[in-house]
Amino acid sequence: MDKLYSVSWRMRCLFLVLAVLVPPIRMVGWAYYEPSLPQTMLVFGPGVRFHLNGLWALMVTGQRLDDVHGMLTAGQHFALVLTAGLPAGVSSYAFVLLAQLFGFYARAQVFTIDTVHIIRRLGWALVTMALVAPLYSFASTAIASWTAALGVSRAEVGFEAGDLTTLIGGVIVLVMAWVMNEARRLQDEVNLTI
Amino acid sequence: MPIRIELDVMLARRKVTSKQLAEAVGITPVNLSILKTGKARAIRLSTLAAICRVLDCQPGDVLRYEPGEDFDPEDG
Repeated sequence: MDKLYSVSWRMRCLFLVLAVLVPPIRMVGWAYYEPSLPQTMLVFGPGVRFHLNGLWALMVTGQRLDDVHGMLTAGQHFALVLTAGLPAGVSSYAFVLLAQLFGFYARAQVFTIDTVHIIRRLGWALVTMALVAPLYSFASTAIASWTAALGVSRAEVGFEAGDLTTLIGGVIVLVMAWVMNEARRLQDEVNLTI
Repeated sequence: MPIRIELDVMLARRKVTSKQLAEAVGITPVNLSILKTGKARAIRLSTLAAICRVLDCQPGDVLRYEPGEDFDPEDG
């Protein structure tokens, strides 16, 4: 029980930190991300550039923009920051749900109606993230290319393999929530049979 | 739950406390409380038989059907 408490409490703290940090990191990332430069490059000022790779690049921008010519204007950066708020908000919501879930686990409440509701909401958050992805890619590509010459500017609507994985993952989590609810009801039947 | 288990009247008539009933029936006082407060989902026939034996009564003396009570759809 002590181990359940300690592990659950640590996970709760981790997800609370991610819920607070990821949205501003994502939005600040878009304030300085220059997609026209090689790889993921954040430009903080003349001669002040910072290259990110791997997981850091994914966390900061969440999406790569290809075929962007030239540096982005301040207006474009601002618009990209605002559009990044949508997926960042959904991610933050998912992290808050995970923090709540592990809070219940820390109190040894595993198969309860509250944890079932949280897991169900988490499933819907994942499905929402996947369905919002095409809107986000449309908005971000349109914004990134709105200063380009006629015939060069474009808006992409994409649904990538990662989005499909998120969608399938969300559906699986919803099914798991249903299974957990059935298990909870069976356990209640056993516990409340005198 | 439309079926309610009402022990208070029989307990008073037989001058038996809840704790004594629980011990005699072989269930915990917590479980007896669950029965009395209507939170139980089911009762084993063996438990019902033990209650009737201790209180010297019939099942109908402690069971009551109240139509019209709604089930919680979450609980089935």
